[in-house]
Amino acid sequence: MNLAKLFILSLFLITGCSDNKTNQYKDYIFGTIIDIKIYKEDPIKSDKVTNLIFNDFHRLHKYLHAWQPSEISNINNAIKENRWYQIDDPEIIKILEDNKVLSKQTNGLFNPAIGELINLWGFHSDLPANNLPNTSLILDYLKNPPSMNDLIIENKMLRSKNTRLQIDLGGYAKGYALARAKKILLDNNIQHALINIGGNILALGKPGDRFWKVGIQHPRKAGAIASVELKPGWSIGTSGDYQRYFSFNNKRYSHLIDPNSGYPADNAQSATVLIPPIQNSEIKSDVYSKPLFIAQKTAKHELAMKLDIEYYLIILNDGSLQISKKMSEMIEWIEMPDEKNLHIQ
Amino acid sequence: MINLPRGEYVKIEDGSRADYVFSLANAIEKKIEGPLGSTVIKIENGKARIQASPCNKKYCVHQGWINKVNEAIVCIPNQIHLSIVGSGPVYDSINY
Repeated sequence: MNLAKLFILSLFLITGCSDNKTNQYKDYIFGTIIDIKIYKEDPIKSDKVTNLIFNDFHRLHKYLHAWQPSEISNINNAIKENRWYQIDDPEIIKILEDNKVLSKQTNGLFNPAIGELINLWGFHSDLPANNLPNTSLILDYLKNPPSMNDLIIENKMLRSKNTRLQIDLGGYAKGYALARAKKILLDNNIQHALINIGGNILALGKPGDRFWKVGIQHPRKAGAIASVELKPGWSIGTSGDYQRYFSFNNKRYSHLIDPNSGYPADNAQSATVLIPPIQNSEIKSDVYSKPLFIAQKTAKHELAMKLDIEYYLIILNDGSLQISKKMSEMIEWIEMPDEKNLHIQ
Repeated sequence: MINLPRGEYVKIEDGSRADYVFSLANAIEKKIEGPLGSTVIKIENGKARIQASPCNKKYCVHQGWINKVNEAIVCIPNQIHLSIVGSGPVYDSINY
């Protein structure tokens, strides 16, 4: 930064650190903000390893982007033209196979095959939508809706049985990036870090003699509704209708689209999942909040049980809260909910 | 946290390695430069907001005023991060 700016602007000047033991880094990738905190490490090493992570994220962005030029958009173009597509990269094949499994596990409520539907709603654009899609387009789409089952991957060759299948990994990429960041940190012997990718957070180790502590955003207010401690290896993710949305005739339309109705799910304001360090936990912390958000109110708990989500908090569209018993024992309320609005399950 | 005199402050991060901190006690209007242009930040009556932004969707402007510790506004396209710091409970991060 230049000195003139400093004189004009600064009353107090702080360095990038929030305290003298934590190095903090920010970058803007995947259309969101990335925040990394590294506890008690040599700053030169922290800088170097954080750079490795940010570089890897830039690589992933170019690799996984649903509508800008990327490997995924190449695949989408081939599907549209009903062509076979050759994938030489085992990482992409693994990601796609992983998404097929996750989509099946969530009864198709997590459906990365509906890129075209998301585009119909205007969420594949950097410009704000100001109109609803034509109902006939959505009805036509729902006549033969694509699913990840339509995707065939054989001997590095890929094609889709449904040419309207368009892959959009928007509900998966942040979790995958968290897992990548974890690998890079551990490979470089960094034990204590907190990685926040657009609200999806993974805790590694702990900052000294306490645990990492994170606030859970209130879906309708500026601050947090509650906070929770993340023990080593735990991750947390939220899907909310306040993150990407537009309003039309005073109604909110969010990017969380129900693949069954073709419309944005509107029975909830947010769904948060807290995942202990199990296999693929970082990916689950991103993916699993979507089906919990989208599922019908009466089906949410059952779905959480099916997916082994033991810690969840859902804020429904009427402002009432559905929370798992284990989550209710762990959460610290900032705004204590009214007992009649709190449903512990 | 860094040592600041008593009270609440707005911390502005613009992607450079230094942050700016202004007291919420003094009304000001500041232009901060991001990759798209100038974001206008306003402090008034103990609150802070993004008054104007060169981004397309203006989520940051629509978010309105913030005044409590840990509240934040992020303009992702113009890469400006605004947060309230000072006394009160502090988290390491916010899940949203």
